[in-house]
Amino acid sequence: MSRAARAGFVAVFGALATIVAYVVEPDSRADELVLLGAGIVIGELLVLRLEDRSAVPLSFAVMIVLASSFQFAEYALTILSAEVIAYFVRISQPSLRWRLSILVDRLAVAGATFVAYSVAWNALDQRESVAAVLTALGVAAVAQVVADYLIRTLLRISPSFSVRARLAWLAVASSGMLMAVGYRGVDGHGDVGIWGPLLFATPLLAAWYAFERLDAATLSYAQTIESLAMAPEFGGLVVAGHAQRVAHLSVAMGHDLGLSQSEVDDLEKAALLHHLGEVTLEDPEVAGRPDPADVAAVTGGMLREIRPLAGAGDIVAGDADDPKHRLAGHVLRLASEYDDLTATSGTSADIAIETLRSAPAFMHDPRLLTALERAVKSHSVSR
Amino acid sequence: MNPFPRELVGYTAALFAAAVFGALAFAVHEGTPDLGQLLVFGLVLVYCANRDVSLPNGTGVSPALMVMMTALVVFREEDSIAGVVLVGLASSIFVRGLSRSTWGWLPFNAGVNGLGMLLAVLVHGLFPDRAVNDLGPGLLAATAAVGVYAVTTWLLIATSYAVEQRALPRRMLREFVPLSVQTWPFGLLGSCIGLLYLSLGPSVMVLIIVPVFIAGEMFSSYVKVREAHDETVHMLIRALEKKDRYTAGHSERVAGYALYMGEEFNFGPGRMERLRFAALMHDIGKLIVPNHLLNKPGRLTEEEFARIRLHEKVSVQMLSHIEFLRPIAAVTTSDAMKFDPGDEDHPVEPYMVMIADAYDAMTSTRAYRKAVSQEVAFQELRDKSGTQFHPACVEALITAIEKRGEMHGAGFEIHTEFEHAPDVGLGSAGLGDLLRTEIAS
Repeated sequence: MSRAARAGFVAVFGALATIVAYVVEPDSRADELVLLGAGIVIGELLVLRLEDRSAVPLSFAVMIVLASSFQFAEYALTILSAEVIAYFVRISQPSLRWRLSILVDRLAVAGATFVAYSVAWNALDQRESVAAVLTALGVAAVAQVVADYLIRTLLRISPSFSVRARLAWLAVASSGMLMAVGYRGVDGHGDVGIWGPLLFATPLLAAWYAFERLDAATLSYAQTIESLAMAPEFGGLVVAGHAQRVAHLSVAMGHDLGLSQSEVDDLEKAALLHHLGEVTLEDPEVAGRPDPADVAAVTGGMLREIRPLAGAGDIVAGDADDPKHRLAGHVLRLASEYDDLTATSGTSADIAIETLRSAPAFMHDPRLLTALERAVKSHSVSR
Repeated sequence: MNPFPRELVGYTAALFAAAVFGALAFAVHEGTPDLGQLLVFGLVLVYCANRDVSLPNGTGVSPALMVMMTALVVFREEDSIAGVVLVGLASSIFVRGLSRSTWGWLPFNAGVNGLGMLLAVLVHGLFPDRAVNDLGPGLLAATAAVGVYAVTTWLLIATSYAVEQRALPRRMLREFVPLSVQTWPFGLLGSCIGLLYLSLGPSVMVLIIVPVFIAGEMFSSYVKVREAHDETVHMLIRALEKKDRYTAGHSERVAGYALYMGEEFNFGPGRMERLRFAALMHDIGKLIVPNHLLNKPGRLTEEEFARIRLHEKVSVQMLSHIEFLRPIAAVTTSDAMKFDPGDEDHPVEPYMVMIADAYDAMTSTRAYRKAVSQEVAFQELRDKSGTQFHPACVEALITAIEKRGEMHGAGFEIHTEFEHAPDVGLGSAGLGDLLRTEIAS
């Protein structure tokens, strides 16, 4: 069952539980607590996905609403119940360890949200003014980011602070603050009750939808490129897995050499597709093995025709004016040569690097050879 | 942006003048609106108008209506109808794509939005002042106002089509309900923000604009990634056409025919997208077929044929790597695409791609034979309907082509580089060429 379908089920059961709570305890806010608890569970299923497959859950926005309007006992009980339910609803997560880590992260963030809001609110003398309320809510939102960062670092789940991650945090924080203001009001004004969080969640849901579309499109695009990278391998023009290995190696070397993330992204695409043009050339059995320079020129030309792959085309062609692209081109050729030596000729990693080092000095920049050596020795790309 | 048509000059002048006159008349009658607030809403709206996101289906999404409804609630509290109309006029100030040939859309949109907001605020005014400041009655008033705005703007735009083309496009009628449904959530949300604005001041605008802005940014990124994906797939098609000159334009046409069938089956946007990509990429495995085999003019030996058939398996492997195509990738070999009435779990999309592929192969001139007529191609599809081809898909394609009045095949090809091809003949492994030998001869 998809996440959206599971969220739908939780919404239906949450609504039913809210009605029951209202019937049983009509004079308390139990019904609103149940509804906000359901919001936490739904918010655990609807997350803003980031490039590295980590995510910022929408439940953090609901935590801000709860922290600003309920006593600690009510808050803790609601969060704990909702997170335990979310633990079981989050069935698509791969491993028990991962799900436990996420549970710990959420409880820590929830604790930080409440403590930060309470401290800030008391420091502001619980003054019912727009500025004071927004300040206390803002402090709670910042505490969420800090707590999440610390817990992820402790649990070795890499925290992300890319542009997309920052925008995701900003969307959750601003929506959480707006939902909280709508729920509690300020000094008796602007209080639209439980409708506040429900209505003012709309922009956040719009952001979630946009993040989902972007994530799906990015994944499909990356998979299409990987799929195209397989064509020369299926055609027997290069050994199996060559493009993927060269891509891993090039990315590690690119980071080592201080290339920016977008340059590394271009380098990765270039490495995946650097043999693609070969499939359009005359067949080796008819015309003989093509000259690597011809393959690079044809592939570079193909990629340069597509705006988003133009950078990768420059790297493959190796004749770009941009020095960063020229450097990336050298990285790609060195990684490819290394893979040819180790995968095609069966040479060991040490001997392959030694062979490349002993080539004439003008062939390979010593900096690149050092980066290659480090990349090979690092865990991710060792053979 | 399309150039502004000359036929709309008079109509646009009338719309714009009516909106401006309305704003001036109310300003004279009730006094000038608060200039500070006008400036805040005007700037936010100009920003929104220039940050709209074009969706793949050609429609645009912008938070402008939400801000206009917020302004409506705020100015209504001040009894300033002029403020609402002026905000409507400001919502049309866009600079992207503006040129000598397109600037006419500026007063056109200003007039449409200005008059839409004028009627909306008048309807909102029918609800008592006290009531609209409570959430329930406020939402009721906002619902009515958004409805009037949607109907007014639709009518004014529909009239512009009638003025320009002397006819109302069917698309306008089809799109009315979905577009109106899209506008209500934004409108109602705007009205709630208006209530908060009145209680808490303009700082709430920042809190609402931030997630909306971020959603817009993510949508823009999504559209860019999608365009990049499209461009990359077209690069693949160009690479295929470089290898196999027999099939110039083939993948695009197959995708077009497959979408015709998808429309007849009322596929949703997601399924149409998957069908389009699957059809565009159905020959991806040909990338591994040696050029001399693809371009061999005569019949292939069994060994050569087997080698060419390998491309189907490769297509499956390559398409399976793309997650959203995986559900249909496994059944894209020609054996698996043959209609099997007993297999109810078989997805219908591969059947569609196969029929589209066969139809295009028959109605295109190849180096080894000329295209057959559309009647012969239809007959061939119907003859094999139920055995080789999915019957409902065959009828869907024929219905869709006839509905559009399109003619393909002999005598209707726009361009072919094989003018001297023989009238009959079987060639290059019959990739996608399913015409029976006796019909071909």
